[in-house]
Amino acid sequence: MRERKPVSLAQTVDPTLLWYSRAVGNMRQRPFTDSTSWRFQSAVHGYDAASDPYTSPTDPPPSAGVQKEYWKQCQHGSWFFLSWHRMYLSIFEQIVADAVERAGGPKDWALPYWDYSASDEARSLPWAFRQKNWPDGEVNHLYLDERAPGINQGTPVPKTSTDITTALSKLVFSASPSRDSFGGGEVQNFTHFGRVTGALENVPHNQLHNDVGGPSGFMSDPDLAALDPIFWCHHSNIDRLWEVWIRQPNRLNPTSSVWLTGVRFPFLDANKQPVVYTSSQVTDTRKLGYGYVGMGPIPARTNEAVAAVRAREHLRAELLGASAPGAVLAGALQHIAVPMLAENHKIRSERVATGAGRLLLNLEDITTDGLGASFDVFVNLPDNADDAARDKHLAGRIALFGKTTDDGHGRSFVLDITSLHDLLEKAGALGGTGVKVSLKRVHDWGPQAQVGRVSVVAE
Amino acid sequence: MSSLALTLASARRFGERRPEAWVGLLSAAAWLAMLPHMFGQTVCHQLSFWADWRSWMLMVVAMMVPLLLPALRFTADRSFRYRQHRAMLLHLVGYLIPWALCGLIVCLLMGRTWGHAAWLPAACFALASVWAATPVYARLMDASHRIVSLHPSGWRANRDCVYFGLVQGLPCTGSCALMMAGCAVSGHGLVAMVGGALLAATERRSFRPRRWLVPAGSAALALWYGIVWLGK
Repeated sequence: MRERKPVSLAQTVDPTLLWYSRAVGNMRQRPFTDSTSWRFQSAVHGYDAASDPYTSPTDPPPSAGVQKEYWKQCQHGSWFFLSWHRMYLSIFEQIVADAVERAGGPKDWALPYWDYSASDEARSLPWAFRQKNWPDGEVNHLYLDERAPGINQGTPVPKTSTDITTALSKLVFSASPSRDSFGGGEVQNFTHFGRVTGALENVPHNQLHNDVGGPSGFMSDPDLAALDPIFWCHHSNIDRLWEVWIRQPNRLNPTSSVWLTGVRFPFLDANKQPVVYTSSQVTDTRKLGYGYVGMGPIPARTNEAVAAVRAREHLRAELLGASAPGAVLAGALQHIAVPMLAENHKIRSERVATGAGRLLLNLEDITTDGLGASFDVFVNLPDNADDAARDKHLAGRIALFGKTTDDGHGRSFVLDITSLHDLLEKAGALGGTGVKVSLKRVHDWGPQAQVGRVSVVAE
Repeated sequence: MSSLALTLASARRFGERRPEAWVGLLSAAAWLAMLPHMFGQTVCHQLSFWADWRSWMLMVVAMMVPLLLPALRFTADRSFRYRQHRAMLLHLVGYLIPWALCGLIVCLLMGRTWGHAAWLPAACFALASVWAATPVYARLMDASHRIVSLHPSGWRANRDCVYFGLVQGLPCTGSCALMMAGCAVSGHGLVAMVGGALLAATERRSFRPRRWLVPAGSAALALWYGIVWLGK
């Protein structure tokens, strides 16, 4: 059983990372047609020949049939996000472990995770990924130039990017599109990029990609992200956070047959043999041969607890108000008016005020043709608000991973604004005057985006 | 509380959870209405033009509308409760407009002398098989999953719902019209209807839209009706 541990932050040579570096170097030398090569593994996540920085006539890609079957598979914006990436990481870990063992390294090498939420120090890219060479002069294959400015110099990512409390507080894995969830929106089939982003995928997953990749680095682009060695440690942490979430009281993975066995994902394993996984095969990491340090088994749930979670999953959300479609997010700060339907407001509002219901903000179908789009979202933000006022009116952060131009639809995000209910009620916003939603660009370099619609719903 | 009241309350709760359920029932009713055709009690292409067209629309509602249910649910979720059913109805109307126009053309062609020919179903499915192998078909399939942001209320909301239906209905008609024409000229035969519906549903549920699935399935239907033709 492999035991995944946190990435070492120490400014010394860590054996796990040293062997990781050597394995990456070895995989980079394998031909593109080899399914265990670095480039092939990255292409399983995403690939665009036009943006491939390593195109070479002497290293051609595999056949179109192989590409169609095994490449561009990553699942985002849906409830397959977590399970698909677990399958993907598991195979990658076996490939690296095999390379490590062949090179004379330990037999139990496991993929470390970057726990950026653990401390202020942990928000900087781990030291080993910022060194072009190891202290003895050996080339460090964990280093990459193509990262956001400052990242390779140790500039920490913002604290808000590493906030996991919002994601871990979600009570259901998946829900209807206008309700918030931990794992993403339901889909019925293979969905490279779906519509409804789950809370964990939004922050920290997407936000970390954008922070590390910047305007043009590999990590911001789904077609290049897995070429950066830190990608795998980032996803190891996302995978670990799923394990943390499921161990909290009253949390359950989906039991829908569509999620469990309805969609089969093909891969080439570490022995280059075709394998097919379904989500039901990856809910228990021990069956994949790994676990996380210090983490016990998933606690059993009582029938009552299961029934309560299932009932929560089927709660309905009612639309209270919505903006006109098509606002363009061009400037640093953009305001969008959300008129409310006064009818039924009182009943809904009382339910929210007494804790019987929740108030949710939907940011629907956001599209962008650039990389790294992230926005802080505020409700009824006063003009010339200072930092304290901004915090008070902050609904949350939304982050897109990659462009949306090829998908025919945008990404949707749901933010829980129940805690802002009193503030909105006091202003008369829910009863008739309407809610003002403001989106502030997180990064100066962030691209222009378009919002399909902003709406407020009550659960 | 009486059992009737309990049943009604439970039906109401189901209706709230699944506002699109009535459209599913509509499709089920269309399948029931098509049963006499499917089991050969009525020979479709011997009916009048408008009876043919009515059968065409019933067939579309039976075979294609179930695939639209998630999109209708999406429209309901993004509409005020008081107008959810109106929104879904307008979405459905928009979706059916291209199919209705396509049906007029198919029924017109069925009125020609060769419109009753026994080789016609096999020819339609063979053409559908070739069409499904083209890149245009794949692009149309992708386009049929596009979504539209809806105005929340007023005439713009109604317009958006119809437009959303059109946005999905046009590429759907473009991609599947030949197969549906094959079903129609077969007299809405059992093999064609069930085979066509299974093909469409399987394609939606498969790992990725398999390029070979619809071409191969349509070719199999063409083969079947070819054998039927030669056996006559």
